[in-house]
Amino acid sequence: MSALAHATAAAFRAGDRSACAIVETALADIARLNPTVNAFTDVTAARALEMAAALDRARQAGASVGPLAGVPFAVKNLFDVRGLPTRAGAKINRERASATSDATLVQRLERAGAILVGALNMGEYAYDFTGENAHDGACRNPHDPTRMTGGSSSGSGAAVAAGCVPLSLGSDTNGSIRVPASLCGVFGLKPTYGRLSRGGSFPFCDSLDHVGPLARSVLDLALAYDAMQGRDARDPACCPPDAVPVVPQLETAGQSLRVGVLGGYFARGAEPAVLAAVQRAATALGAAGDVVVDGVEAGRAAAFVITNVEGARLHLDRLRQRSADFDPDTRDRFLAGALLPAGWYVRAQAVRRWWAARLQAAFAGFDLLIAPTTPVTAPKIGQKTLQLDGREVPLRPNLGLYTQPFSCVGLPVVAVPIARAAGLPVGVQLIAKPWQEARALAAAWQLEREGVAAAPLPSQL
Amino acid sequence: MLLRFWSKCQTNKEQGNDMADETAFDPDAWIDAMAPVVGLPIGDLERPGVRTFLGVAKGMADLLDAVELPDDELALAPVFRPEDEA
Repeated sequence: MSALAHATAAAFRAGDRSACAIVETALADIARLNPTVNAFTDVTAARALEMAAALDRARQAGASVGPLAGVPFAVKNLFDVRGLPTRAGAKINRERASATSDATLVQRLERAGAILVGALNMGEYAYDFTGENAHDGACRNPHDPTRMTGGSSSGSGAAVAAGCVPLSLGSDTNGSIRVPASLCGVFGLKPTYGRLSRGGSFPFCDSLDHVGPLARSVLDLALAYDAMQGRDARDPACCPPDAVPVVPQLETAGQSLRVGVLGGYFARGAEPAVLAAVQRAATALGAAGDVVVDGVEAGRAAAFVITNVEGARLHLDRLRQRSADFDPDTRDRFLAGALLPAGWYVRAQAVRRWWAARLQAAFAGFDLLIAPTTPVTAPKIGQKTLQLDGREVPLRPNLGLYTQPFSCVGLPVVAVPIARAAGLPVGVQLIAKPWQEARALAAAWQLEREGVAAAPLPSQL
Repeated sequence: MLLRFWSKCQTNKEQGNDMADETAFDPDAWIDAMAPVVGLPIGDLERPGVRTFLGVAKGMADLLDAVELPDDELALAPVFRPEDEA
């Protein structure tokens, strides 16, 4: 399944390929590639073939089909999939009753004609930046299977990067779409907080949880985003403006954008290849200057404390009764979070508002800001530390060094893989003002058209 | 238990290990005080990790405390309304 989503949908609409043939190819690719990348925890073959047959009948009957008709997709296994327990990367959750309905975004993608083919590996309860999982095994990077995918939407990044599916869904609380997008070399969209419904997804930290798509082209990302937009009573935070499709805006929304490059905190610690990627994107987008915002560390600290406390409270009963069944790499962080003083949490929420105002001020002369996504290319699986600015620091928290400050205040971000002649993938973030996903996607599309951004399949897998 | 924790803090303070000082924090004392209150069993297996992450969280809390916020307001979290920037 090397074809992109829009090309697959076009081939189906034109009658060049049947949905059944597309799904059979995807299932064969999963069977061939998954033993290497370990991206899938469930393959919903019967369901996929049933829907494909229905789509083929509909097309033969001359019925209209959706914009994603015939496109296989897969979802991080924290999204409800009818008939499966929603495992959220956890051993404990496998004992939950099977979901009786699909998550809202699964329903919306299927309504657009996309075909669910499986559920994807992830870090336990989404508290992860590495892609490692003690229960389901580490997800492995398609560009070098000895290396991390990034997390926590590890399978979502790997399944798309490997070419198992052209489209996946992930969640992002502190960077969990953007970090695997960067390390696996695919595009990812973390929309504005409240834009896309989290209905029917297993939560992590309500104040900061976002959901969004990953794909190998901007048009695919935009098609999926448009299919998923809209309010939803299942998610109390989901109260966006009226949906305006972005696909028709990709040509226009990126014109005359005032682009700035975030310096200071965001220019420190990254590998030269990462900083070069930022510079390349900045040049291509005609960036007007550097922007230094003070207080990033405090903004990130707010994200840390809010995540720690809300996540621990969510799992408190499970921690009391079954801490031995947690992944050791998440367990002790959750336990610590359950003990934090309430005042720290309230302070974090207050600082979060302060940080949002500072970032808003930074946007005064700009429509779009550029920052690195991760400080490094994909580390080795099992690696515990990173070298940042010549200092050895713990790897797990620091992979999200550049992503946390934006999810903390809900800004929309497109993670963009920057084309390289050789070497592991490296990505940048295009950050827009609230509700301005169209601008970030249009800028990403411009980078893709000019060959600055690309998500090629691995040369060997 | 909390009284004992406070006493331990005071003792440490008198001994020059000022726990009120932002740079000094005794995670073991905190675990001993708070884990029973919350009803969390924290054994020898978990304690080293919990100790480490409490220390990290304390560092984050210090960063938050260093921010100058107005003393007549406690507004929590950004709120995006549909009209914002739309």
